[in-house]
Amino acid sequence: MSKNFRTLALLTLTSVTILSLIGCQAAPSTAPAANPSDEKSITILVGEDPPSFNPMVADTGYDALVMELVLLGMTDIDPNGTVFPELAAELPTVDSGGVVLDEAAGTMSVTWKMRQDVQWQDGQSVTADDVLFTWNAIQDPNTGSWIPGIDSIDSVEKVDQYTFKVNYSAIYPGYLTQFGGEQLAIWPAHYCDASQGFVAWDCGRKPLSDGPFVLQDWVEGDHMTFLKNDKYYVAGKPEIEKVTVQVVPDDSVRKTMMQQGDADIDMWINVNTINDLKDSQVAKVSLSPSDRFVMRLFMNEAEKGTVDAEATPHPILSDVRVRQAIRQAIDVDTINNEIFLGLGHPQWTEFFRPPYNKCDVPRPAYDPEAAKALLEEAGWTDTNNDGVRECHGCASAEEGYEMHMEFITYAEYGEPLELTQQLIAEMLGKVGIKLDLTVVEGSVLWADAQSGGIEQSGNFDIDIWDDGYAGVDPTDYIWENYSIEAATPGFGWNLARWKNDEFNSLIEDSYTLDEASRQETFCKMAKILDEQAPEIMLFTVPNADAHSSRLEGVQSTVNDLVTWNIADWKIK
Amino acid sequence: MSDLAAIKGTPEYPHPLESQVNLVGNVWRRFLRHKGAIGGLVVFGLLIALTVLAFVSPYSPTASNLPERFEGPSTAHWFGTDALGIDLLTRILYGGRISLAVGGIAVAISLLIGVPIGAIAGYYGGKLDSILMRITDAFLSLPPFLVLILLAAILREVDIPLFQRSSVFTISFVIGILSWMTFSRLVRAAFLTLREMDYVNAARALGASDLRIILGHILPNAVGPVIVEATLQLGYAIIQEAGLSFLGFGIQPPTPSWGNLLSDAQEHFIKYPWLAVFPGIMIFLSIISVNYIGDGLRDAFDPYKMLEKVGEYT
Repeated sequence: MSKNFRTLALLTLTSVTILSLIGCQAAPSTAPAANPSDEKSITILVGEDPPSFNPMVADTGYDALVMELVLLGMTDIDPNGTVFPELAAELPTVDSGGVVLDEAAGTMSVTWKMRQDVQWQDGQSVTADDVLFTWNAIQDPNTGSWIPGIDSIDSVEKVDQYTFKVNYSAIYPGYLTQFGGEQLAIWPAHYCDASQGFVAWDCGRKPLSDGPFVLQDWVEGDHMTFLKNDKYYVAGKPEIEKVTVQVVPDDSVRKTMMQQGDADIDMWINVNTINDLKDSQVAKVSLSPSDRFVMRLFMNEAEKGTVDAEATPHPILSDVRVRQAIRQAIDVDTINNEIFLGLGHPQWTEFFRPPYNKCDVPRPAYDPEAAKALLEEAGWTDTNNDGVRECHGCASAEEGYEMHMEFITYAEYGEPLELTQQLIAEMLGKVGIKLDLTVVEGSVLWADAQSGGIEQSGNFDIDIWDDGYAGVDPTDYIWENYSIEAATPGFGWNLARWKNDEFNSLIEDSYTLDEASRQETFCKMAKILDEQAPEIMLFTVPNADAHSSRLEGVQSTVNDLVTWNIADWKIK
Repeated sequence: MSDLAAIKGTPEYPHPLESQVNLVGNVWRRFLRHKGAIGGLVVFGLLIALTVLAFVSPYSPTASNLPERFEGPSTAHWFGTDALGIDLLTRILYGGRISLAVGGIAVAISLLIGVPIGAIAGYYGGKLDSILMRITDAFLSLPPFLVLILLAAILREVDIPLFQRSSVFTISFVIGILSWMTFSRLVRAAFLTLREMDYVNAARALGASDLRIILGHILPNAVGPVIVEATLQLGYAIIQEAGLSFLGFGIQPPTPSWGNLLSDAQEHFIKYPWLAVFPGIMIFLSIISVNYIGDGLRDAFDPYKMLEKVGEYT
């Protein structure tokens, strides 16, 4: 056995050496992009199988990626944040008469007119019946799902074959993307089995298409094949005839395939891949023109393992001065410039995206000395000179309690986030805050409380990941992240369990179509968030997708998946 | 009595203590003849010395130095620097402490579990033997690496003394708890033979307790193959730590281990190959040196080779 073992060891060393030599000599291929199969077909690489074609079920990104190939919503959002119609004939507005407000009652109704030239792949028309069918499936209390603004809808009624009306019990500013956008599609009433439920029905994995492609086959764990939909409503599109979505779990393999011209799209590439592909002749990088996802610290204001910050305050993080000190102790520019190659942008307020980026919130300064002073003021000093502060007169911890916490992040983002985590731990270590690092799977971090989700069950001190709102309206996102109601596990993502009555009433005020009022309300919110620091925003992360240089029309976007405009792609 | 007196002290039958001294001496002499084993001992000793002396390095194993990210091997940084600009040699040396400690503790845990089980099964035999060996078989039937990952994942969710998340002891425990079966089978096999020997019967006839017979008479004669296996298991444990850390279930950054250094290198292997090559070489050297030591010990403990040496076995 030991001889075999030695042979194996020798083989390993030899392989490592040979691979190293290959690595030393490797250079980006300058050969023209190899065509995966023929001139009208492309290959899209994904890390794993999509769970289904319905992103409302699991929201892995891969589901939304393939949904864009086969299913349409009423509207979608372009990379600049502009909403455009898909199944809708036009966008309903107050001016066009499509939106009717009842100011006195605080309600509204929206009338949608649909295109009349869209067909399912079996030839049947896409009609208001399909919209009502989808809505009924979503709002089924037993088998449905939650969508933004669902609680604001009183009813959805059919007006005629291609018109329907949504009656709201409140003013809901996000109505334009409620039946579309990144995650929601309209499903065929005559094909899906409503009794199976919106999140479980078979058509979620075998969809009937009204999009630019139809699903031909799906070999799980390997690939999906899509063919051009001859009944797609836009004449002459798509130009591409075949799309293969290939599962390649290892991101370095995906990168190599892009470098070798063996694939056409690699979605959500990280900064290392962006850097590695910048000189490639066969692969290009598309960066989103706008930012969405902000790397941020989530700090649990409730004691670890609990979810009520008032009943069981966190011994360290419940003190706002500690949170502010943490913010001052992190050198955001260094992390962004060194780890993220300067591709991100420092951000310190939720309201940085147009059209609501007009609030005057000064950027917090990186000042470790000020952070130390703030910690001293908060009663955290290092009397035993071991480099870690202890509570000596602090607000919520026992005398002598160490400033020692766990700092979690998720594995899937890869090395840039893990290096960021290490650097932040080092920076906080310099002001006397000791952090133990943990990396977990995202599915464990974000699972619901019943499944043992770390965040929802409050089983964390600090964690870091990238988050931001889809589309152009921050209202729902603000509610989900900062409202008192969303501090209850399962009701939202107020992971800090931060509760602020003034802020909560501002959230209510923001549900209006009066844009001037909304802007003013958002700026009041921004001020409170800046003072209270329930989350610490650091910098936006680049949203990028790699594509082969033979492919034209690819545009990465933070508002959707890269396939949002696949019908417009062309092959050189 | 007179027969025993006659035997005692004769040149053909040395005093038992004298015999044990000769045994150790013979083992050592035979070990010294095994060139590979001596080489392994030197290399392994050197590795341990280097890891112990890691503090001599002028660089910190954890403090970042971002202006010097991904620097290649140079006079300032013999093994280059990593993604945070930390001197790789320093991280490898400190990482060696962790990896070798995990290996040592894991083997100790395996010995503590495997040897008593094997000894009891082999000495008492019967139903107890069957039960203990079926338990051993059950553990042997588990897919080791999958269970390792599962155990590591479970243990990192608990926070009890000695089992802090991804601590050296936790990782060692996870590896050790799944590596004891070879020891128990080895010891059992030796006990099955040795328990029938005359000197064991004599001890039993003189009223020695089972514990005394097991610990004082049989176990010392079964220790040879156990030591050999322990050296081989040490190598396996280092590899398993590397595997666990590579997959993210082992030692967590910023604490370095050879496994997580390799894991960190995977994204940059083509561009900065030294990040993988140097930790890989250290793992390779430690495994192969320990393996040669084990080979040498096996030969040295082999009774047939010893008899061959004195001309009583051909």
